[in-house]
Amino acid sequence: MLLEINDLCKTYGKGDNKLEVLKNISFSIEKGEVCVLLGPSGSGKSTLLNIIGGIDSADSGLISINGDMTKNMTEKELTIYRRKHLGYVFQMYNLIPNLTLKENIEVGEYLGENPLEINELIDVLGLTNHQNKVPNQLSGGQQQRTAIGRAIIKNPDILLCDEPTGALDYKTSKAILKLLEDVNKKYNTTIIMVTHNDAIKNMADRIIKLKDGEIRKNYLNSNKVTADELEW
Amino acid sequence: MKNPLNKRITRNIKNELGKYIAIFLFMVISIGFISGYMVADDSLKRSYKGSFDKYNIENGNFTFLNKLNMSTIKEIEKENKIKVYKLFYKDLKVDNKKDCEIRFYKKRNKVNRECLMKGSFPKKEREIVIDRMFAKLNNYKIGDAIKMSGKEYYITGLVAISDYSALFKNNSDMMFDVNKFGVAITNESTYSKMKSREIYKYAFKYNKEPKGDSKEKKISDNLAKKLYFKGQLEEFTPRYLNKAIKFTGEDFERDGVMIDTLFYILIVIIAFIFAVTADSTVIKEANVIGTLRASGYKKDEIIRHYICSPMLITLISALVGNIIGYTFFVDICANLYYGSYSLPTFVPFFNLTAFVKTTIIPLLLMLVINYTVLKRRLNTSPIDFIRRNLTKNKSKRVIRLNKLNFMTKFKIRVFLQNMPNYFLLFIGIFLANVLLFFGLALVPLLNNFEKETIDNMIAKYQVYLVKPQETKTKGAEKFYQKSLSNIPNSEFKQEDISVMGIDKESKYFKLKPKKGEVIISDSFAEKYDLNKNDTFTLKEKYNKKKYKFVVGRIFKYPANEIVILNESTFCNKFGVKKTDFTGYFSNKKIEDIDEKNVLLTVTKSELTKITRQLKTSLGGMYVAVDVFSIVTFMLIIFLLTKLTIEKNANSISMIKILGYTAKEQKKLYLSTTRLVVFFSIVISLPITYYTFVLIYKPMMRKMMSGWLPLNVPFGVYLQVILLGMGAYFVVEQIVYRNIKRIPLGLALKNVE
Repeated sequence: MLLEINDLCKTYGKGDNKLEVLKNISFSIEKGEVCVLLGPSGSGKSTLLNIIGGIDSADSGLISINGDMTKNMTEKELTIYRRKHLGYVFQMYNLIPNLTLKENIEVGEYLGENPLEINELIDVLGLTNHQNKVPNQLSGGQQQRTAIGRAIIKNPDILLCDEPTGALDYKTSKAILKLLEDVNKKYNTTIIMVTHNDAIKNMADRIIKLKDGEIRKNYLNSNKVTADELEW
Repeated sequence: MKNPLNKRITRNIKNELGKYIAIFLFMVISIGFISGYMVADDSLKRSYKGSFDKYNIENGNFTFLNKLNMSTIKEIEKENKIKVYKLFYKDLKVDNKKDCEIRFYKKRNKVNRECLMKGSFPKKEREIVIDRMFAKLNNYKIGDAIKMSGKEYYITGLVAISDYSALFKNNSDMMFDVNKFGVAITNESTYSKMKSREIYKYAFKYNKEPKGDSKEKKISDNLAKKLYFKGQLEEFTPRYLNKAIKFTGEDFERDGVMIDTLFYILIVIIAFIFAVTADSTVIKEANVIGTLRASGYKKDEIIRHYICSPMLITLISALVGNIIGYTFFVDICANLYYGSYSLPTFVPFFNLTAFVKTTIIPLLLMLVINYTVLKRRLNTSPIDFIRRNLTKNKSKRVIRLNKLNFMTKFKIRVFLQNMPNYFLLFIGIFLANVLLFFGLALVPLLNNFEKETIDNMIAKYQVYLVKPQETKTKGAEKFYQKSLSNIPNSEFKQEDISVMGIDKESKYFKLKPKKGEVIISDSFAEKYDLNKNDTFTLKEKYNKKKYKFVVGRIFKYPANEIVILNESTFCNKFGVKKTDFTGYFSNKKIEDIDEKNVLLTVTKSELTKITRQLKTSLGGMYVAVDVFSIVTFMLIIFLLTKLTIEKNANSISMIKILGYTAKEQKKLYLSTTRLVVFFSIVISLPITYYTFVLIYKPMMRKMMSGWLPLNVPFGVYLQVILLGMGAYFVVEQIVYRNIKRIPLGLALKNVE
């Protein structure tokens, strides 16, 4: 088991404004799985992703990644942990504005102990002709590809994607999902993807549906389709 | 692998060029000016102190009515263990220049040697070299001729004469006047043909230098007593009392205190600017920082990355500032002294203190402040950085503005939203105001001092006598005076305080001092924070005897720090006979007293000479500080308001997209900032004034003898407001122009 979560709870606010965002969340994910966290706005899926990624903290519960319990880790240990094992892709790309496309990917390469070959990766990402451009010269899709490149170049165990297609059009979204699929197949990277788009779940190995901070469903997808076959 | 973030260091500087140029200029000018001053001051001080040995400056001099013969000189040398040198001189009046005289000496070879600054020493008949200062102020050049007593004398060179670094004609003069008195050297032949009374002045050097002022005083007092019996002694001046030699050294100390004070103000401003810009960078780069942290970049890696650009700029500024300091500013600062004093040439020395203060301290400050700000900010979680959730305390209550019209509501919301920034802007403006006030207020203080001194003159003539002598002049009133010293400490520099004994029915003071009553001048009270019934202590200058006084009254007299007692109290306290009075106050010229018995006559002309020379001596540095503070003030305002306006750049672009005109954009966003700047400048003025008082008093106490009353004219406040708003308007135009240039599509992309 790559990732194990037990009784995770998270609350925001105090007193009358207290909001239970996650309530006793428990599940596990195998190595190489594509897992989609699905749910409406406010269901707690992004919070869950952030806690798995160590950039937010739970109030209670346990998270174990590759046998390492993140609950007892200090802030420094969490940082090293993210550096070595996790890659992050955000909805709004968050590229560094005054670095070129290639340099933005190098930002991730620098962190990896055994990074992937950058030129090959840029080729896989279909960005060879744009590698010397800066982010504001790129389209949304190209920026998101760059962000994915930055995340996977260090060859992480888990790729965490928070609404990776949220800001993109249909065609570009499909291209990004295809890319994630290819990354999963080629590098056996475990992918945990948060989305509110129901259709995307069909390309996942495991689907976890959240509502009001609780897991409503957690099941393996027996009708998995390719990214190309997705329609919405 | 090299950290790819390193490629951002220079690119970040390029992206924020305006901000970094402002910081660069501010640092370069500050470092350059302070460094230049310190190097000039230290190098000139070294040169000045070095000149005592280099030019073999006298330990003192004495003047006899008649020339001493060789055996008398030998006797004096043997008895007193000194070496005596002839230093005879003649004073010649310059034709066609009112009250202008030049004192001529023969070339000195053994003691008080000259420093030839330009040209050559006189060889031929009627060739002379004159003091560089006097030449400059009277527009004389090498090759010019000066007509004196009907004859022309040709200038072959310019010199600095070591026993006349300050051109005092007589040691009893209150102040020197370089326009009216100069010193020159000529050859034996020319000197002997000069038709003027020769003064028999002798310089002396101790065979073994006494250690310490009190020992030197004891030895020189004994020498003076012995000389009294060798002939008709007219004057005896030990070096430590020789104003022509000592005055310059004292001025170096004065300006050093002012520059130190300026330096401390600048350090506070620099620290504030560093903190504000560091914080501003973190806020601007929040999502980048969050992403890097989420990706696994350690806090230290991020801190190192964000410290690089400001450190680089500071380092380059320090380097350029020091170069400019050692080359350009050192000459400007040196010329401020060369403009008042006759100093020998100097070589700029590397000054470790200047280097530490102007380079090491700002670098350390930049490092520590940026590190602290970044470290503190990085306690925020990566997710909060990504979401730009950087404020811990969010305002939970929204102020209702329902009854106001839309534009007013919007402006109020802009104001409330920017309140933390505006608060910082207020602090920054206050600090900049303090700096500007420091520069602008000093020159008017000098001017005001001159006016108050003249308006409060005691009498048209204040005559000091060598020994008591009666006069029949109507209205002349006797006075007694004794010069005591304050008790110097870390707060107050040593200075002489005059204690006067006056007639209880004095027509000139009109104070009617009672028996035992102590009345002090308001300048003395202000300087020493004295009020009625406070006790203060003065001491004899050269021994340990002390006197306690209790303040009975304070009277208006800004010209001087004086203590008034009635005659009998004075005489009893100091054991002075009633017949041993010091001089006269009179509104009529006293003509029946032997001129040789008049030590000094203080008139309006003498008082204006003092203030004129004080303006020359202090004014040059004050003007330099004035210009410096105006330039740095404008840079600070530029930087702070730029940071504030830029924070609203996205919002301004967004309303542009929505269709608001340029006028409306300015009305909604920029007018609020404009008002905040205006009110910050105005509201901070009283705080600025009180801060200035807190700085001024300690500075002036350490800096000078006497006191410049703190009377800041209204014009200074007006200048601060006008300069501040002027600087702001320039910033507003530049920044708004940059915002207008952002393509609308990019503005949309930049919105999270």
